[in-house]
Amino acid sequence: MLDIRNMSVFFSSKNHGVIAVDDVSLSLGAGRILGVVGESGSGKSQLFKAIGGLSHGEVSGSACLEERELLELTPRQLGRVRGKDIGYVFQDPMTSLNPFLRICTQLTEVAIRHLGLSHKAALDRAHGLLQQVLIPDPDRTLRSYPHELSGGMRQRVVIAMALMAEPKLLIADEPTTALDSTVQLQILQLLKTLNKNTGVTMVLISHDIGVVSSVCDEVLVMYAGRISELADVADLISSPRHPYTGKLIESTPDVGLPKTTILHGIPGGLPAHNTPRERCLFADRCIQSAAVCFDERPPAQLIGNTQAMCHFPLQEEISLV
Amino acid sequence: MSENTRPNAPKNTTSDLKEGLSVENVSVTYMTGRSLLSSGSPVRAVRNASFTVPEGHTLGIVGESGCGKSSLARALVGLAPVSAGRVFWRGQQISNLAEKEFRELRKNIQMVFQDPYSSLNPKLKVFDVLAEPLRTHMPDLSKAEMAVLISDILETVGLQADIMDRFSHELSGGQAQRIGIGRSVITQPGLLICDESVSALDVSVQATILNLLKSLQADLDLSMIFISHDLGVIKYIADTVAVLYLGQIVESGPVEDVLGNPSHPYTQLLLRSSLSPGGEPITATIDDAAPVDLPSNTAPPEGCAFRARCTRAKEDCISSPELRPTSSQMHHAACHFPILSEETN
Repeated sequence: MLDIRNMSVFFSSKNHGVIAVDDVSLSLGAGRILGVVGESGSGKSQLFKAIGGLSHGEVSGSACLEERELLELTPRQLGRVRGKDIGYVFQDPMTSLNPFLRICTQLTEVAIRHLGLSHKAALDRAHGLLQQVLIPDPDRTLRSYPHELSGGMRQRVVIAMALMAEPKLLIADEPTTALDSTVQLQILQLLKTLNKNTGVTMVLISHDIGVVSSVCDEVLVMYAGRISELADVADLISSPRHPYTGKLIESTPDVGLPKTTILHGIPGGLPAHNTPRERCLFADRCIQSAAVCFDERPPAQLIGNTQAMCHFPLQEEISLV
Repeated sequence: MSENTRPNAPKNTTSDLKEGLSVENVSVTYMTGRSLLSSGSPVRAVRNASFTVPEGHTLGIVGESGCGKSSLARALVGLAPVSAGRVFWRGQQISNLAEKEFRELRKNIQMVFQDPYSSLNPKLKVFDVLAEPLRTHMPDLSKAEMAVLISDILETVGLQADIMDRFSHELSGGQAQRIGIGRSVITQPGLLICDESVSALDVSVQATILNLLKSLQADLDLSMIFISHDLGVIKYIADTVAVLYLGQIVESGPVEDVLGNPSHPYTQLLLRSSLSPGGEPITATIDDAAPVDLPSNTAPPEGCAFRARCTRAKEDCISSPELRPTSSQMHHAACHFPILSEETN
């Protein structure tokens, strides 16, 4: 379905360049939900912006959506792919909504442009989708302006808008980060339901490993622009192979854990932009790094179904209480 | 700092815990839409909140956006008006003091905010950021004494001394928040109010900051109020917790009781919404019939504010429930039909 090969995103500036995404390859099957987790600066958003032509950096490599190479398309063709084949949902619904237009105008525009529907048919479709995203009063919502809706309702509208042209791939970038936890739960249940009912393939990008592990089938863990680990969700949580994933899980506060559990965190921070690339970028913060970690780029190692970019992937199972 | 140098040392209390902060029936009301023609309509951000924070203890406050948790915190430090009720700090009433009197008190009650960058002055170097509270509250310090205090505090918050010459934009998020915390504890306060102080940080950094706050609390014998939307964070750092819904405390008690055996359906909903790596996966079923938005706090609903979203609501819920003891004398919930601990098991 989606096949990404050796993709990199590079930002150049006067003094120095920044490699935001560094040689990422992965493939995603139709109907699956991929979670992408990483801290700020990990490149998780840039990677999936780049496949839709939304990155401002220099993009190299290859990204195929159903055999169609996306990175060779003209901006005009990409514009058609976005909305038609790939739907985007961002953290702040107002980045996708025009504050001056009624919801009905914004939703029908998508279907008229990409599906060539008549205004009437587009309006019916918009109404149906608002019902599908569980908006209690679709008629009233269609007549509303974005500012008249709550944050949770706006995000539902944006999800409906992303689904208007029946995309093959829905990319949700931190869709619930700005929402309250009770609303977050509703939106995630909604995404899961849409995936089950319509079979749409999804990418859910989040900084919160709790969100990703609750919703996704497989998880990509990114660090400093690179893949750390790519695994099925159950494997990732029960037996993380990359030390970073393990530490990330151990640093996450969990109301289900006993109060005496100690969260250790990870001392240090992201490597500087001028750190040599032919090494492990996590090595400075890693408890088990050896000389080779500072001299050689870690290879992708396969343990079971898990791919870990580490010289010394974890072999033991860690037990979660 | 020894006990007798504190300006407002507590009067001897009969209970075994020394009462640090005591909040009695506090309300915070803002006026909105005020104009020449209208006096505006009141927004009741906090209604009738009462709690105590014994010395050296941490109270966690949880709730969704708009529940009044920040208003409550800001009212305690005089940044928002207390429209009713009283606040005592070590036996002295501190609500609605004049600004001049409050300044003296701020040395004792400090706040750490959410965004570490916007709470630091971008024009000041780290040294001056840390020196500012000293100049205000301890004007008699010599330059040398000040420099010693500043390098001590940098060590306390786990930073190298060479960071002193940097500006806040040159710091990472974790470093900036450490400076924010250092600035708050440099005057040796008795009470630290943390308003979502770790929410903007990456989890790997968040955990290190939480541990810093925990160790500071033990070393400096701080009382703390820790506001967060994240139940996992609250469980980790707080001794007791108050759950706020639409400006009212709906449940309070020891953190393990409240989060382990919630009595109020709202607390239970929050717990169910709290996602963790080891938790239950979300299924493709919608269990809440229809999404219901938070009611407005300009016109809060009569009776139990949660009843529109509550699956247990019955006719009685039209009348306001009082906070009553549930599983223990320490654990209170404001609900006509509290969840009994057998039900959750």
